[in-house]
Amino acid sequence: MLKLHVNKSINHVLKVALFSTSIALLSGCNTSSSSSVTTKTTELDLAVIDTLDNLVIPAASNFQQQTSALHNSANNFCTNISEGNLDTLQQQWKETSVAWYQLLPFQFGPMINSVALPTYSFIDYYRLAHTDSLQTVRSFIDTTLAASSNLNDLFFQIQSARNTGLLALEITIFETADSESSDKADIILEFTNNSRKCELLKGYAKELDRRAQTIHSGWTTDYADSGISYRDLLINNRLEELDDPNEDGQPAISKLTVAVQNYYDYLANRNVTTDIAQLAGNVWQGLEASINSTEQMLMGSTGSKVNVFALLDNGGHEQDVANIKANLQTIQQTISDKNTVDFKAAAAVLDGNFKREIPDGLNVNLGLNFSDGD
Amino acid sequence: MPAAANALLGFNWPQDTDKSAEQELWISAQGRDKDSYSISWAGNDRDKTEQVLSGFRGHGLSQNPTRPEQVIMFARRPGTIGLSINVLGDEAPQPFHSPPGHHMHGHGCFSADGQFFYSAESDYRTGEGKIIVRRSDNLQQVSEFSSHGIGPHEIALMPDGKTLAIANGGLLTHPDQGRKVLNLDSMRSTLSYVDIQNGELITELTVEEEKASIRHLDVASNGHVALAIQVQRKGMQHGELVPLAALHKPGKDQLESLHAPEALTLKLNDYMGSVRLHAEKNLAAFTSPKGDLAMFWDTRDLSLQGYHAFHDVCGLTLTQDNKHFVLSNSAGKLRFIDSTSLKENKSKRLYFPETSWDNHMLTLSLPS
Repeated sequence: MLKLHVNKSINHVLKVALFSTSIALLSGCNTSSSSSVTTKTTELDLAVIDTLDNLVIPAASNFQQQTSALHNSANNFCTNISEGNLDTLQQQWKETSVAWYQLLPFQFGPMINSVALPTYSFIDYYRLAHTDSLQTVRSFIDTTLAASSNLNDLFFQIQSARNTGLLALEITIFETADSESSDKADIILEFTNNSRKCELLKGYAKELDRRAQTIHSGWTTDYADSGISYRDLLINNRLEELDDPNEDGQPAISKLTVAVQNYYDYLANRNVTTDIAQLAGNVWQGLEASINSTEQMLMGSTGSKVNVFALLDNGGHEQDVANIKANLQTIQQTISDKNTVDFKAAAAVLDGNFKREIPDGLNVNLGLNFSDGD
Repeated sequence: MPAAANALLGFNWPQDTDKSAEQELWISAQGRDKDSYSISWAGNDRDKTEQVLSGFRGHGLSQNPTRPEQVIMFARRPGTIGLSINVLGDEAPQPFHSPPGHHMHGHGCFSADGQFFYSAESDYRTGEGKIIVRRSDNLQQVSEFSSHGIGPHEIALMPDGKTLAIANGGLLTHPDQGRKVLNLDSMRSTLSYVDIQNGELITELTVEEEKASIRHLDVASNGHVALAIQVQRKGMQHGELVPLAALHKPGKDQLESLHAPEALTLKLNDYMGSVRLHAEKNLAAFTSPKGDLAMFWDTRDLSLQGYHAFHDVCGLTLTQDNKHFVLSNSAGKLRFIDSTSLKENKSKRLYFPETSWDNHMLTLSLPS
């Protein structure tokens, strides 16, 4: 009988296809703690770090800045209810939603926190459930306005994911509750006549900002009460030290690749263009932000020495790179044309790129069972 | 039904015996290509795995209860070959093949006396699910009977030693069309109990969702049967979430679904891979490689007790002393979940970087 013996290693190994590069110290941008990687760091690691430091974390920061601005705008509007302030408020909601879509492809770590109650779902329930909740949330808002419950912080913190987040704010800001009128005069009148509606608006905005802060602080200062940022835990392979049932043990490049792949699978198979931002009407701007984030992930930040496309090129996958670039142009065009059918088809192609060409070209295993099943 | 169900109890299940003096190994199909496909096993006191190359991608395995050194691996659907090995290395591996016009579904089990083993197969000419019976010593087919459904997947002997629990997945496939589902519109999945002596159907149960395929099961010494389910979402007319785990208890005429919070159920991506019951702890454990999750339910009140995230987890078994659930993934990692606290015992982690554990894992108990 032929028997083979293989040795085990307790060290976590990231498979790469390129030469290793020694470095002395890596420190994160905009983080409260420095990190050092004293073992050999590959070019793939550097590309990942560039993505985290110059794309993901700034996107998380931008989203939190926008939610903060939205909260301020809500307070200002309620202090002085006017058409001008309503315009500002509505425009700020749009800015916030676009910032969300810039961050949304990177749905891992602080975006999730808990698999059972993922943070992102309290911002964007549709991303979790894939069902249009517009009518449901309208009904909830109607009921809440008619009730006499105390609309304090706790009220908003304990609400289900479906009844909070960007959609709840969109409904509150872009239409009246009683007749679903989008006329600004009607909206202003309703806010003027019903002070409870302002309580609802400010409470929703404050809760959204709190969730955004959770994401941002998780990336930059403290993840899962560890006292260490997720960024530092991730690039130093220390996540598994946490006693965290939510940590699945994937290396950084896998988390990034799988997150983006899942996102394009979502775009290809769900009715995002018709179900999202139905009242604000700016879903295409949001999707454009997502594509821009994807492009930057692959091309690297300005001045970056390594990026995914360069790594693929160096590995002899120039044609794959050319194809993926073409696919990105295609999907950008569908956004310009606001063509839902073509957009979903283009998203499906990119889903495939993140499932096959990119991980294969980088020699990253996404998992045997993951792709295959039984 | 109740009388038949109660008759399923009473057999002295091998797991009830004291195994503390025995050697413990964890065995699984593994590999990523034809050159590396193999049966591989590891033990906690070893720093390496051992392998027997198979040349084909295997799936489920079964250990002979009366000759524990014999392990059989079945080809992954729609393969037609299986392999019998002696983990002590005293015999050369022996292949066996599906009968003409048949293919395997990846699972099988031994008879209580170890003289025969049963494999889940299909006659792809007719689409009928079959249980092929072979002798354990020479691997020759001696008989067959219907699985009483389409696409039998995992099968297991009930504690009475006379009844086979069959997860009929309900999915019709043909080797010429690979793994494509050919009967999405009409699929019907069942948990079927079949008398192994006469091949007759004792009873069958179904889940509520028509497009849910019962694929894997485990049987405990108390007669409980836990089911792991995969949903054919493309065939569904609605977008509702479907429970992916279920339980059948003796005396009950219905399956009981095991529910989880919405976010967890969504993360499972309509796919549960392996299932293992812990009768002593009243736990049913499941893994989802597409959800990167292991989940644990209490079998008494059907409440979710915990979960554990682990990338591409699928293999699931219990340690010999029943103190830990063992999880495996395709990166070669093993994790050990304390069966009392349901927290990981990180000090026991093992990592075999050259090994890609496949879907299912089995604990072997060998005499020391």
